Amino acid sequence: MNTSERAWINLEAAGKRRRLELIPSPGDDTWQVLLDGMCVEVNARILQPGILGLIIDGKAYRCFQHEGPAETAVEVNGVRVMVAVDDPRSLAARRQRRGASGGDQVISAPMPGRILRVLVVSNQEVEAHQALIAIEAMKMQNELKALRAGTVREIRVGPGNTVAAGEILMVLE
Amino acid sequence: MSKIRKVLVANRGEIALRIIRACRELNIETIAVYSDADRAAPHVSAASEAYRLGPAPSKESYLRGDLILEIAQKCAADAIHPGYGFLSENAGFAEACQAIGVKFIGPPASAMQALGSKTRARQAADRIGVPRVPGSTTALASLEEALSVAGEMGYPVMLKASAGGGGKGMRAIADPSQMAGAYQAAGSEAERAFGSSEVYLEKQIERPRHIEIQILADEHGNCVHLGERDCSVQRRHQKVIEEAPCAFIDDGFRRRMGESAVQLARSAGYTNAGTVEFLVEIAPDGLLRNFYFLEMNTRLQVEHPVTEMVTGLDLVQLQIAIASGEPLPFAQADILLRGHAIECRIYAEDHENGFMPSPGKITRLVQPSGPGIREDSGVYEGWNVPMDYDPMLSKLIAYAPTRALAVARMRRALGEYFIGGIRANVGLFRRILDDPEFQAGLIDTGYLDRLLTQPLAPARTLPNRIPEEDVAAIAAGFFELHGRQKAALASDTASAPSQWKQAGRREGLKA
Repeated sequence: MNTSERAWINLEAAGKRRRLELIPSPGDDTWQVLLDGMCVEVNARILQPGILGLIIDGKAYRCFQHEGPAETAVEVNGVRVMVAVDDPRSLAARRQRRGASGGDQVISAPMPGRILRVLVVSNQEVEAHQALIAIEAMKMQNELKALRAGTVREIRVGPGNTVAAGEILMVLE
Repeated sequence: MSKIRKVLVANRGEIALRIIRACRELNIETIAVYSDADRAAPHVSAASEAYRLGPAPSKESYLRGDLILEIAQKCAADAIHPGYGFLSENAGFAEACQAIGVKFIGPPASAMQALGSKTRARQAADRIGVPRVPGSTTALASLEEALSVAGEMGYPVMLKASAGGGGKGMRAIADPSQMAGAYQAAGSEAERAFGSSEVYLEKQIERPRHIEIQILADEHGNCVHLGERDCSVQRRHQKVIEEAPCAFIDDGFRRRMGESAVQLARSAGYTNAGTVEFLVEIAPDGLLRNFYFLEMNTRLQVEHPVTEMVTGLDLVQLQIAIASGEPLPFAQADILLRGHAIECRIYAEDHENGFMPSPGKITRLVQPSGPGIREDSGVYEGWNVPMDYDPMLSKLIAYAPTRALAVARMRRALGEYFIGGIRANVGLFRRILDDPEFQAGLIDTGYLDRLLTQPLAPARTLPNRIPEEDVAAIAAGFFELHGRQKAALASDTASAPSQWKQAGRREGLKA
């Protein structure tokens, strides 16, 4: 990683807000890292795309980046930590993220698969944890359920449809 | 004896590759078949010839026995290896192979019919006096019959599909009130999965170990067993971890189980590789007490590598030798078990999220290696795991002189393993292998369900280290920075003339 400028990055890791400041040292892979004000010396090198080698205080770590359709995670020593980096260019995206917890409920496909059955109809009121859609992949059937009570506003798929991971299947209000 | 020079492999994934490897070592030519989803699958490139079957769904591809036989004839295949699943236990297919003079690498159709149906196999066990799980030996005619059989036997009971496998068409029933629902559900599930709604009843044995015996029988009347595999770590009646030998078996018990398995195979004129499954009661001291015949699998099994590790034999090559008409090259007394082997079934599923299947592209694959590690894999980095087949990616096998060392070796290997882009159950195995009960060998078929209901212990950070969570946050920062740099670089080069073009101009070449 070659840069001469310090960088500020705000992110959420394992549900906690973290503030990072990365300060490069000239000439090698060593950085001074301020993590929420705590200072550590870190040697960082991208080993392969998505694989980062870190040496922190003499302790070596191999970190893997998971970039799924819906989320990003970092795996260290078999521990998987969900992360979401604040994008300074997109405040709107952040607002949307916050908004999602209050208003509409978007039901999207957790995996690529085939829709077996749609278990509700438009304008139907549903209860929390009520099954909405049955989807099949790899010889396994799964039911997607409502997170909380609401009304079915939009159904975008029907039985037999093939869907991609992350595709929006249904919107509840 | 008919020499086998060319084998059609009627399967996909890791087992197709496993069979092709065995053939290559024997200098036998191989024919792969594939569906539209599998053109880029590793078994296709590994074989000496490859032919398309049809669209992705199994019914239109790997289950098309007619097409497979057509290809076998056209390519002058001497034999067909069915692997496991798909057509491997289809007696009609085995017969059709024989009818056109292509050797089916497996038992004769008659033995498959006699032992493949669970109810008929239970009748066979009764005839030769092998103990079986108590219950009915014929299909239930009605719900009333189910209730009366269960009432006589006493609850809890299991309803099972006669044609069953893989946990389908199976229901545990704690009391009579659950019978009607379970009878209906098991029957219709069995109908969908196996084309037969026939179900029967078994007494549920409390916290049994699932232990199975590998047998080999040639076409000259020789039959041996290769010891046991303990497959007690299961979820929804599907095996998750298998090991050989069982942690708590003694030689006498092994011999008795092995002899029963051989007897059963002989009684049906069985040949080739097969597995006799038993449920075993555990005595308070952890040792095995009574064994009950459960069912026979008339094919090579997923977990055959653990037996290969502890016997030093190659089961696929032996299957081919048997199918060629060769006698077994050893007797029972020659078979020695040495060391301990453990296998983890690596699946594309999200064990942290209801075991949701996770097909898709493998963007990063870091595989373990080093002493005592074997991996039978059917994937590669960049491979798009199709949604149309079962989620098995690979089988990771650790072998060491003792069980404790094999566990340590597997933990080490799991620590090296990384699969990116899709979710895989590597973390589930880390959890099981870290569990003191598993390490002590205290497993029964309910073990994993109990473990999974326990809350996840918080990650332990090694002394003098900062928490993994902090390391992950720092790593996320560097990944983000790297991404920003790449994006900046890309926009720079997009605006500047291409370096290739510039170099081309300098050298007077057409870019």
